[in-house]
Amino acid sequence: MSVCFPRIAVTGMGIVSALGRGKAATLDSLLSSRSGVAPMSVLDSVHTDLPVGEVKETTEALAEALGVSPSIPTTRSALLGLMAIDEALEQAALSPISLRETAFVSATTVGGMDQSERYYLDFLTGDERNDYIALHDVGACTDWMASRYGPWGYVASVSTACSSAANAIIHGARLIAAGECRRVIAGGTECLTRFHLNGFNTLLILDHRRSRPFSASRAGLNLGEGAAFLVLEDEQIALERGQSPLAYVTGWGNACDAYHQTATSADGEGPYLAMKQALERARLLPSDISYINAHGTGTPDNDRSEFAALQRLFGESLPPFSSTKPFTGHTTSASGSIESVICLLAMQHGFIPPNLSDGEMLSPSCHPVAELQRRQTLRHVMCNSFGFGGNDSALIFSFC
Amino acid sequence: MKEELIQKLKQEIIEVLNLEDLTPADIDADAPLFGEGLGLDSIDALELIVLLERNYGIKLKDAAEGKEVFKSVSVMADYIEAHRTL
Amino acid sequence: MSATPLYIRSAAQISLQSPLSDDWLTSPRAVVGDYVRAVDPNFRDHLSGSSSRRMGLVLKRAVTVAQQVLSEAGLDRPEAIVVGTGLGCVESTEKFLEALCRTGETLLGPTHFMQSTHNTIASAIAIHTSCHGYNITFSHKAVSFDLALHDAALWLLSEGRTDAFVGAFDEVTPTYHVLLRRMGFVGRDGQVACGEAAAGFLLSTESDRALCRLLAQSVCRATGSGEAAERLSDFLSAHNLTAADIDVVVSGINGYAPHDEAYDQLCRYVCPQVPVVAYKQVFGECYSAPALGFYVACRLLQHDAIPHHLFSSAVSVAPIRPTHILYINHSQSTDYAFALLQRI
Repeated sequence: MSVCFPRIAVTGMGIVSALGRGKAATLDSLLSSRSGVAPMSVLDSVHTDLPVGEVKETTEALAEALGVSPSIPTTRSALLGLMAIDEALEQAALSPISLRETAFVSATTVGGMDQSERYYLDFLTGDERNDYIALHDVGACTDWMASRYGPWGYVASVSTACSSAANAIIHGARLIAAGECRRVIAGGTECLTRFHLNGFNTLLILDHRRSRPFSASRAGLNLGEGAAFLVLEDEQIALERGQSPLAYVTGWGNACDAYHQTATSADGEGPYLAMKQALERARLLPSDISYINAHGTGTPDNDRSEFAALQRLFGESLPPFSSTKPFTGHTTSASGSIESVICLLAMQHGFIPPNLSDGEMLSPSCHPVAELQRRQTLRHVMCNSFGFGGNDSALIFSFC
Repeated sequence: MKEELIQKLKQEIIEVLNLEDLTPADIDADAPLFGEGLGLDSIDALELIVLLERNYGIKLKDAAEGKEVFKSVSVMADYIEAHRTL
Repeated sequence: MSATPLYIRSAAQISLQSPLSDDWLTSPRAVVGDYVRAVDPNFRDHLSGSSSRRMGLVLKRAVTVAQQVLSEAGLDRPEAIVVGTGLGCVESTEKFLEALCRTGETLLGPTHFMQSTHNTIASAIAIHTSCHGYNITFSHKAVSFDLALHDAALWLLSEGRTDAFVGAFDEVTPTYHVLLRRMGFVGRDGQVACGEAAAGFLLSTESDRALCRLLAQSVCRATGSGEAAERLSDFLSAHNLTAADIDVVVSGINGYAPHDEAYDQLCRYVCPQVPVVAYKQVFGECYSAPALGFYVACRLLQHDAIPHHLFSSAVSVAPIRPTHILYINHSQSTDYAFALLQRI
């Protein structure tokens, strides 16, 4: 099938995570190999022995920084999202009210859980917290953010656990490729909650030290929080308004491992299929990829099956790869877009972020990038995101 | 005494692991719980760790320790008798 | 949408009407009270105890519906699984949240947490059917189903594939019913009962034994009913249709006047003479109820007459054998979805 799709340009991006607010702070941390994973200081949990990648401001401080009045009910995920969207729109030279023909595709899983876990018993007994009941669900989180901008032409929420934001970008790319719309703001947001910290803890997959993806001694992940959004445009309209693309979304793939609700298959069938489809969509060979930002959570299961899939697909030509989760923590539903922004920064500034794990790796053939690599030309970069339920996605960004 | 504990444990296991199709009589106290036996998986092991802590005050260090303890209902009962704090 | 035609090859539902059946057409169950749980089939007839022992209700319903849809279409597995859900796995989420809030951060088990993510539904269907294909979940209040349908159609056409399972699933526990009342989604003046919904479809490029053809579908956000009406007019004219071609509108009206107003205005502006079928009086209201509306539209295109209990007004309507049905849905008078279905 030979179809001529419009090229999908990235014209803006915004990010907030444990590495700080904005691209400059993120870049600075990456270039100085400074991790944002640290002892818990914002989340109110008894599990203070678990390191986390927090955005170091309280929800109230975030609201104030964004000019959201304390009288407006809100959630932490929505505020983090707002920060990232503001930055992305600014870079793309779009005003918040110029979005009439634009689609907004946002991903989250916890949604308003930070407030729900605070007020749940009140929800059950009376009406005084009804505003927060209405903010609990995934769609409400998206709507709250959407209401600060627009009017929009189309609004959608995606929720596929830890691959959510990657799937939001894929849905956005598909909307543009199919000619359904010409501009999409796509990404994800997720704050830390006691709900999912305890959930991951019951699965015994949280490391009490900083996570060590792909290392032989890896013992789990660290949770993180944050948000990132991309402005995607049909290249033509970007050029018409004088925006030069930062890069292009050229490949994407999603597949289901269909193996187990939380465990991953030993041969990494889902990850393998997702990456393979992304290459096919981008019409690239494995050897064309300059860098892979791995999902690399640091759990024994994920890294083993992801590495197996990488070996299956790339064989001898496995490009440099690293997981940046030791920098940010695993930002779950936001990780797909946060790591996409990291990939795009790496392409723009010509570097490969290190894996931040040393010692023996999971197999003698496994060599993630150990040290920061500068002066790199990254033409095609792959970004992996895998989630519960075996939901596996891969994205390819290109600059050429 | 142990027989009583075995009966109670079987009931608790059925409940916490949602083994709706089984009755305590269907579970052989000496048969392996994992793999061939009841066909339980790693998630069940995690639920059993919580069961030990909640109902018997026994805190296992890690999942590896659970492997030994959860060999069969009978082994579990012995372990509980020796280590229970509740 | 492109010129490649799309069809609905099979469909199944579990709701407060008789499960996996179309008894609602001829002898609907009476809806008594303001909150009615779904009538479940005997899951043992459909699922093995070992495969379903950890599943909450919504998962059992989803896998059962998917199985039925696939078997009616004569398939073992679809090429993609695209799901909409407003609230996801509520029962599991509540159990974990309630334990967290009542007993604190210790002694929690993993089962309810691992079943709590929204995409557990699509993944349970994938595991059950060994489907490695595209798998995604949309969760956006009452347009969750529409977003899923839209994405599935785009996926089929842009990837040149043959079929996708599309469904929407929402369980409403007694606790969440209280919360939905508190936030004013159900229980308002004149509103139909709060129900539950599980509905699935096989969307396909093949017409073999299909129920109907999906001519077009669209989701958009609009400010005010004027803009929504404009979008609907554009939608029809983009497919060379006018109001005169529409035999019936399947509408999401639920009896609460401010909510119904958006539907009334759309119809008044765009297709004032067309009879309106209202399905929520039969199936109840919940975030996935629109999937049942779509189900009703698909089934009506296989029948020669529309039963009287489905019409919104008491005014007697001449017997209709519909050829074109326009399905309309809105969420919060902000997000709108339209679909055009055609008899084959």
